[in-house]
Amino acid sequence: MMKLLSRRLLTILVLTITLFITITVATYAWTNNTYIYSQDIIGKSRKSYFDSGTGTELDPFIINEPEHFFNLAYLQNLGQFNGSTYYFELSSSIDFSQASVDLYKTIYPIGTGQYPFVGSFEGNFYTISNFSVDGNGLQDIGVFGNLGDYSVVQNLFIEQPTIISNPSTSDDKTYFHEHNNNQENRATGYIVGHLNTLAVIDNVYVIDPTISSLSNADFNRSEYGLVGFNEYDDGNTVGSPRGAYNFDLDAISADDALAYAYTAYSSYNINGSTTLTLSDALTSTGTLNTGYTLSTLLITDPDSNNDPAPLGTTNLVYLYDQLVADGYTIGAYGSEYNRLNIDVVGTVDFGSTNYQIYENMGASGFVSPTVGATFNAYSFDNAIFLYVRPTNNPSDLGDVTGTYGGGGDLSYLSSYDTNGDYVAGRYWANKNATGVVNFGASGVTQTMQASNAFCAIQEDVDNPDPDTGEPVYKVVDETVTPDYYVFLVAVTNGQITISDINFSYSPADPTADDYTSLGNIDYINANQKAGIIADPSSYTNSYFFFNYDITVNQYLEVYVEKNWDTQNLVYYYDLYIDYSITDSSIFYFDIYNISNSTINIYINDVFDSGNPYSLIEIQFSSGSYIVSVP
Amino acid sequence: MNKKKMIFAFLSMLLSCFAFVVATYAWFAVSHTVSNSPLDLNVDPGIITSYEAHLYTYNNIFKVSSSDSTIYVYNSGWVAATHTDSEDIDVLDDQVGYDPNDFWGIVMKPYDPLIPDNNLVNNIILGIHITYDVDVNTNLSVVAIVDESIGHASRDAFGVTQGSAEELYFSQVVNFQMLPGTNTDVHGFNTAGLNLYSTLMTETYFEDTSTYPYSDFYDETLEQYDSSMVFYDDTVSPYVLNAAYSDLYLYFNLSYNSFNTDLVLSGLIGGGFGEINLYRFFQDITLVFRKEGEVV
Repeated sequence: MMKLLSRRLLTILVLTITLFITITVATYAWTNNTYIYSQDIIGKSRKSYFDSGTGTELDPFIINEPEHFFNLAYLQNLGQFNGSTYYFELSSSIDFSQASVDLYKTIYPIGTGQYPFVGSFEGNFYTISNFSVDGNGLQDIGVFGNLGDYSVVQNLFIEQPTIISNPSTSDDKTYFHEHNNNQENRATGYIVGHLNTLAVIDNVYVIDPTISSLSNADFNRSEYGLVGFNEYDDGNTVGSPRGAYNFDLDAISADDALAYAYTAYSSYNINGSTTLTLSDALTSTGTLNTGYTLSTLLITDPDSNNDPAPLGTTNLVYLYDQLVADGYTIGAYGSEYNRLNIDVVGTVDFGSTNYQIYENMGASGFVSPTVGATFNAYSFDNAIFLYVRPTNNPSDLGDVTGTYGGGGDLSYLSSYDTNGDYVAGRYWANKNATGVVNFGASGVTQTMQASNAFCAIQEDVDNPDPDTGEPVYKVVDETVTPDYYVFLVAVTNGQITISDINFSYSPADPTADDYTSLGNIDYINANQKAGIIADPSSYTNSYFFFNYDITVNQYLEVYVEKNWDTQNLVYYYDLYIDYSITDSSIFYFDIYNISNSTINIYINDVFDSGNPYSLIEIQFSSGSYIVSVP
Repeated sequence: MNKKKMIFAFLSMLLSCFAFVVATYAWFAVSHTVSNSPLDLNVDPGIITSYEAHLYTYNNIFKVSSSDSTIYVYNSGWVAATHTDSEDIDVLDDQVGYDPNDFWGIVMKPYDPLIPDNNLVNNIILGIHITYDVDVNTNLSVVAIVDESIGHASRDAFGVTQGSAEELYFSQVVNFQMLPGTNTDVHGFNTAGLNLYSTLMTETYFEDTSTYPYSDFYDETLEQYDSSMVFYDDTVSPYVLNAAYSDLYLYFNLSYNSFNTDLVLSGLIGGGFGEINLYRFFQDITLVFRKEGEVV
């Protein structure tokens, strides 16, 4: 009995242990299973955008990965840094080709017109390399899009950046601003798109950069290659041959052209009128009547099928443009009249050897217009107007030479006082009145000065002429940089006979000092980095810049490489320009080469020439180009 | 042997068998709902004989073993991951008393409330290869279920999310997408080292949200809530386990629902880029595969 009881107890014990083990195992398994769940996938919110730092001067945001740089650009353009100065610092070089995510290989330009970068970026002489900047849809395009006043970017190497700049006319321009000549064009540069006057760039060097505008579809300009727009010079490129001009109004060709105009178009309606014809504005003997200007005279388009055109705009053409189309230009000695630069207001009597303007001085004569008024040349009878663009030196806007005879003086009527302030309502009683500036003797070349202008005008970009679509200009005072200075050439005696008036401007050759506003920037070869790091002050800037201004149907890619000439032991440049133009337009590509380095120019992958000149001009047109040294 | 002994022995055998079955089931369950899976994965062992899960992120490939509790990362071959991604360690770095080295899981790349572009690649694709054994075509249901107990375990392990009065859960912010299953390895699940992220994040697949719409647990107020979402249901949309095959490949895209995530974070983030704290969304979802008519 006891034995049987023992066996039963033993069996029960075994079963109990078995059950206990079973339950324990199962329980442990589920418990363990549940516990481990806690370590499964979880999500989280972003904690930081940079490696470390709080963005203060003492604790700057540290950037050492492509994602950090990407975040800087993105947050900047979102306006997250707006209103405060943040400090950023590279703690290592960044090779974007190693980015963990392809997304981070392309950044936005850092800073926009709406949210300029106003912080401080310390590169510590590290390199950011192999990345793209996507400026599409933006106005200021470069690694730094818009560097605001008091921003600082320094001690940085930028290697193999590709600046993508393909604007479109359909871009949202809500926050666009004016650049050169009051244009809302794009400003594209390798380092910075828009450089504000008080921004500082120091020791920023670029290696093998590319600007890609092969899908360009709007106005797109680079003022200096490295910098898209320099507010300091208001977009007037130092040393640019684009600022040169040479315009001429001579009696012989003008009389010839106007005689043809009368013969061909005297019956054509003018200025949109259904009653007035060209014979009302122009006589058979070549006299331009009072109230009309040679530059603004519109006739019904001879090529239209709707002659005579009804009132409206679609079938009108400028008389002078039609004359040019018909082969009649005005000008002499290699220069031409340009209706945008010279205007003639009747009454002017053109003859085969000279032309005459009637004297219009005195209290009832010319009166300088009020500031803000729309400037219309035809309001000032008996005048020749010269429209001259500003230069970097208001005391040297160019040269003017008048060839004339007779008993009086050819004179400017200046509306500026001795302080350079504009005086509205001024009139000139006689040749001795204040503001009458004598041309000097016939044939003598004089320097045109802004202070001798009749007024200054600026385009009202928001309100073009509703009929013609042409720009409308408003009078501005001396506080505004104008689009044009307007010089009124009047005669102090109606007996003056004018053979020719020529005015021209050639910018002076630039020097290194002219480019100090751009900061200490340059193209370098990668081998030069070590020397710069060791002693930044030992580096000699090469002052190599280029300038272009393209628009629709003009496509461009520019790649710059600085290489070492092992034979001559000097650095030289390889400049690769790929371009195409799909219409009859042209654009210029100007190269400024202060140090006279050799520049090997490759156009559409074909070597063109090696030039050591300080100024090189390339005129591009569809299918051909001309490289010249002005 | 007397009759009583026979009865006792028989009962002992039954009890032993029961014990064996229970213990085996428990371990089986562990092995099939393994740790570190992207979701708690619950399978029916009566049909599904094995499974393997791959996780594809923009840069990495992970594998969840069906035979042990290991996450493998593909690095010129499968190697056991000490942790999944160094970037993800910071999920713990402000957790007092917690050793980051203990962390052994997968974290979706962070949700960025300011820079939408940063959210383009923070999703995870889950690929599951199931082998099954059915004699006749059998309907399969695939259901994602919010499991509060898992979420609470996460909370207990990691603590309440910083700055939040209550813990935040993955189910609040997740978007699910699912591709139709295939019985053959169409996309390259079995190709070692092949990251299917770029293959499946295309206009043909997960980027085609009209064909493969997002599903989520919460509506846009975060107040209406469904505790489960059905991908294939035995009544609505049965998925047939074809008896002629024994393999099934399924792919899920798990991403942040930006609207819901922004809503969740809106009351927590001050607004500026410098005021963001780390918020964790704890895993609280079970993905269930079950035979038609069965319930979990």
